[in-house]
Amino acid sequence: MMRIWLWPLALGLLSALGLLAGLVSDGAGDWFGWLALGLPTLVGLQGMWRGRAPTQAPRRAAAVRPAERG
Amino acid sequence: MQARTLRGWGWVHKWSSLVSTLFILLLCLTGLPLIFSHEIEHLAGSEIEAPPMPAGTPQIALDRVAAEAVKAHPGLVPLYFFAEEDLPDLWYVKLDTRVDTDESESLLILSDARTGQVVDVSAFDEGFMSVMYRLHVDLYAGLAGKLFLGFMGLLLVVAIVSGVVLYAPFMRKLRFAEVRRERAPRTRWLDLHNLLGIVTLVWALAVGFTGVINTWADLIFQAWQAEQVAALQAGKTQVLLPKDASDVPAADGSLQTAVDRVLAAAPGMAISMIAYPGTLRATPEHVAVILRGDTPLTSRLTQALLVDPADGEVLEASARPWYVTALQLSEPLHFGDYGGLPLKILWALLDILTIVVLGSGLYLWLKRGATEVRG
Repeated sequence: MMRIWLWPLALGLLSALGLLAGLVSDGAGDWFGWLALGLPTLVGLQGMWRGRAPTQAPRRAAAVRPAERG
Repeated sequence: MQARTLRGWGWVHKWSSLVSTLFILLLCLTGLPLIFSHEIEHLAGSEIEAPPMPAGTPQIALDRVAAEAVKAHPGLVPLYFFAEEDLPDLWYVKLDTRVDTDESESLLILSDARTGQVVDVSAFDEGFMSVMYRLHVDLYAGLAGKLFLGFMGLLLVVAIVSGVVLYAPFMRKLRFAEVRRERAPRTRWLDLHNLLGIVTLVWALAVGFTGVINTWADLIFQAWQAEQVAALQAGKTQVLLPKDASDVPAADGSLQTAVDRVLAAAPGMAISMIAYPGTLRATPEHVAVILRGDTPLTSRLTQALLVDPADGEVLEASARPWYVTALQLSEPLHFGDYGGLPLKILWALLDILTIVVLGSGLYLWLKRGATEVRG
């Protein structure tokens, strides 16, 4: 359970603090806000990059097509 | 979690998402340029500026600004003056046929605070950004459109919460942020949907729910107006400047003197908005002057004072109620305009990630069953 929720909890808490920081203080608050919201954004963007479509998938194509034809 | 409970949450997630997805996609897409509306105006050269005049040119009385605005638009009456912090020599003036319309057909003009001249801006309420704005705010359908989009926003909140419940069972055998890209496309997109959904969670909840609150703005101000009128009738008001205060200009029925008296009663505050009697933000007899402070928080959390233009008494009818505080905090949290350009860029990136979550969710639904069959 802890393993599943540790990162989501940390990133969620960071986002929430980041959203509020810029509201209550200019300067330092803004900087903290950028970092705190930037981290989850970065994790998401990096995930998109890692999860991009494989450039070639010969194994799959070979495996699926005959089945679909049949 | 029991299989039956899980299926229940799955049902909630599916239907709250399916019903709202297309509208939320529209909101995400139209919201993207709106985040940068200030920058886009600047680049397009349609940025608004006051005509050049010698520095320190005095401003004329508000009553004359209003008279010039009415002269330029006969048949209309002024409702509000709005001040922009970075445009000190300009007033936005809202005009309509009556003070108590729903303002859906109202006219917003720009007036020079030093001459009263209506500043000619090439139709700043038309064009691409205006279309984006209307599609984002009310679908060209006034209050009904706002409330409809607000309901879609509530469904989004439900979809997010139910999505969080479903996150754990899907992640049981996966590490955080693991994307199985070599598996079937549906598996890859399921992993991405879960990852992007969970990292945008708090932001999407905040922007989604504050958006919902913003759709209730008209209702919130109506409620506050009713509360202020009730406080006035019950005599439960706080007098900040009595009728016969000696060291300020005596009331003469003019708007300018009324506003001057409010500023005298609230030192250190700046005008954010002035509302004519009878409008949504004022009372039938009083001018409302909405004041802002100069810290990040007090510039959002405004104070509304009432002044009777006939006798000059300045009152605070009722302190800002919690639901107005909620609304005023909802605006920056929805717009992302309180942390400079870096925050706007983060807003845009998170908006794009949310679009991917919506798109992948739709894809997962369209391809449902594919994974179960092929493994």
